[in-house]
Amino acid sequence: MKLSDRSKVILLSIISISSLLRIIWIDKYPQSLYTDEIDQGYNAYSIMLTGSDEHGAYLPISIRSFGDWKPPLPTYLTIPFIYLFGLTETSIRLPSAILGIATVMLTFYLILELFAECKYKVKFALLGSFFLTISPWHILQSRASMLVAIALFFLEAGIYYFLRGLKKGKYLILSALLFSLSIYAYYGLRVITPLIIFLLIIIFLKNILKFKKEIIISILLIIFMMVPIIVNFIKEPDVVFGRARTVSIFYDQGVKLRQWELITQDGMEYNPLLSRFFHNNVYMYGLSILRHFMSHLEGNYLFFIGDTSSPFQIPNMGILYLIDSVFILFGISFFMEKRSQSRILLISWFIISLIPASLTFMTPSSNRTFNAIIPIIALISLGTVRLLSFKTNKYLLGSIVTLLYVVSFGYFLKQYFIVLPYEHADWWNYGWRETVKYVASNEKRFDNIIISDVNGMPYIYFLFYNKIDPLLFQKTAVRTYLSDRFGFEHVESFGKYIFAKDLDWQYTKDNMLPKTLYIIPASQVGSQDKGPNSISYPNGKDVIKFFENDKETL
Amino acid sequence: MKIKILLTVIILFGFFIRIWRIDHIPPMVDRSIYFFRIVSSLSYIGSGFLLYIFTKRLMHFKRIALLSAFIYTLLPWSFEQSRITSLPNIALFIFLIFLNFFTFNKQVILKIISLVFLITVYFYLYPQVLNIVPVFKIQISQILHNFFSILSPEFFLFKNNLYWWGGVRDWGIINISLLPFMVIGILFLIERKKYQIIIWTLLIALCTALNSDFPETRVFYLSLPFISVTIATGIFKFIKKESLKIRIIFLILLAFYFYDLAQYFHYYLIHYPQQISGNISEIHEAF
Repeated sequence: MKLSDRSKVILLSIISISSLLRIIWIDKYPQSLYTDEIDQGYNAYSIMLTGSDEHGAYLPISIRSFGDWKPPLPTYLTIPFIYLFGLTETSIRLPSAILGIATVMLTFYLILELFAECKYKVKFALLGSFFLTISPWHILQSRASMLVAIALFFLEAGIYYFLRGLKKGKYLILSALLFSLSIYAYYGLRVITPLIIFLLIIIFLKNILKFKKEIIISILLIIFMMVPIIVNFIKEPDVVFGRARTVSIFYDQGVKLRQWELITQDGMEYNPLLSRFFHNNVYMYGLSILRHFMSHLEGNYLFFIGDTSSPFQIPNMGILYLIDSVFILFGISFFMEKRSQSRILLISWFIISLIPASLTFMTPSSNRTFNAIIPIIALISLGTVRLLSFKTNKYLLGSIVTLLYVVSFGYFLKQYFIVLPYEHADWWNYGWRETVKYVASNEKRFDNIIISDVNGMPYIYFLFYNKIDPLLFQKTAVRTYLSDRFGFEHVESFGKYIFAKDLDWQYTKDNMLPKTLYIIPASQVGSQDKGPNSISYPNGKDVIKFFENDKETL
Repeated sequence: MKIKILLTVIILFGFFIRIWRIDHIPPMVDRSIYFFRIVSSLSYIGSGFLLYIFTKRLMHFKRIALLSAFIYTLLPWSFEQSRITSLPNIALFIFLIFLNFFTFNKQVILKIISLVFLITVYFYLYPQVLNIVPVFKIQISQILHNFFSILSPEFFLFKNNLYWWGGVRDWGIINISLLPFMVIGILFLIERKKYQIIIWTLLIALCTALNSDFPETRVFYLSLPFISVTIATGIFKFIKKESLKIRIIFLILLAFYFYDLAQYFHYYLIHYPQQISGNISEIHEAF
């Protein structure tokens, strides 16, 4: 459809604002690269130079990484940026930021498509893209090199072109391609994307049946795109499920222990069949899954506390603005009046987005449920239009709403750009960049550099900031490939760097090896132990301490 | 007539399951408490009938009123509180008297009189409900945090922590199987512009959030009638549909509801006494 000039100007302004919010100071805020970001970056660098990842796997379908087997698409998308801008924070974060901006634009067109028959569709669409622009949840994810912002773009694009495909069959093929790519972008989409495709087919079956040729091509395309994953799955099952296995509720012992506790309390004289009737796996795991699902609907999580897993937290804020709660309620009332396929799609999209996270024990999770943001944003924009359509002083109401959003957004900017870097630098593994720099200027004095292997995966920071030759690392890295209790695989050493697990500093400090530099997180060191140097957080608290033994012999 | 008989059967059944082994479960520290527990159970009878009357007058459907009484009878929190010395349970009975007067009298003076009656009785009987912290003395963020804690799926479905030492805290205030009906009920009430139910629930939630004893306050217990009406409305709307698919879904949900009830009563009879025995010394009131 043709947009009016006014709408075009507004849309352009929204895109400009979203670009500014996602790109400005992207290398400084967040103030350091998180482990997953830096790993992605170094693996992209390795593939760019050698064709292989850090483990030596040639053009991997899944990036082994720390044993969590990351989906590969975000890594591959990073390569051109590293080629152009070098191995820097900016080049690693740009793909996520750019696709985040593209998602804002796409949301406009998606909402237009969803509400094509509605006279307020342009208003909904503009509001939807605007709310996504200023969304703290979306800004946080877009400004970091996390998988989910990239994955969301491909999923949303898949849905958008599916809807376009209801009128022009050729777009169904493009939709199939985008859905297939989304599966290579994030683990959770290996559950979400098939369910979304199934949902779209169910809702729009009559509309798509007239494009039989395009449907066949789409199916063949999807099968073709899935062949690499299937082949790799046969060779290595973790390629598909990766870390999902270690965070799954079926891996965690919580439910089992509770079941055991309840059966024990029933007592030896209680009928064992009855005991099993009440405390069976289906009921207990079902309850657990439902509880984890529902945790994402908690008001405190949505509007106050947010995600408590670093680095997905914004200090003293939820993932949505408090004022959004009002519009969500109005949006729901709007939904009830207008029965449509769009309504079913958005509600189902929201529910499906929560399913992967519900199967894990670490909830609520803003990261794993990130795909729910689009239905929520759509609901907020509907609610806003609904509220402003009341027979009342629109300008006064509009002014109040604007003021509330300005205050909320201002608060978010303060929390994100001032409080987070100053008070919570530890959430982003701050300190390793500075550590690598210090070590680089002093390492010639030492034969060994021993790093206590905590606070993220320190080895990857040394690889990244020293731009270690990937081929050299692939050949010389010492790994056992044994997982820790969280399912992560560590590097024992490469070159003179040794990454010591479970380092007992109280013993080691009296038995330091000659010509060795020790790098110990401050949390492991007593306050009485003062090395010659340390790295501090912006708020002055120590994060890393250095201890040297310059002696030639023991 | 049939409805009245059914109502009486429901209430009597509810009373019977409340007094069965009331002196053993939960454990009684002092025999003199027995009388107060019986009083609490008896107040349930009054509440059941008053809830029926209130719902019938509000919704104009006897079946919804009957369902409300039935739901209220078997709600976990209602059952739990009716078997102990519970001031909130008795306060609920008084509240329902007030509600019937307040809602259906058009004369403002009668509304005011009923409100004064309620406040006066509560002042002597259940003063905890009036322990509201002045808004200027508490941070808004704390109020909202408390408010969202109450109106949360965790509290409604999984963990009622408003009576930590004495309550069945590993259960929500409603059965999980009733959740779909509650959601449908809320949507239906909004559609029919029956906002009083929702407004009362929110007001009580707010009073609970502002209570100085939060989270150790059972003021939110006063919202049980409204929750019962909401669920009953949802059930009624559901069973009115003539579609075979809907009826099958309803039967499945009904079967799950009975299983859910069985789970709750098993928990109450076997696990709850064990939970209480370990911390009965922490309960510093008649229990």
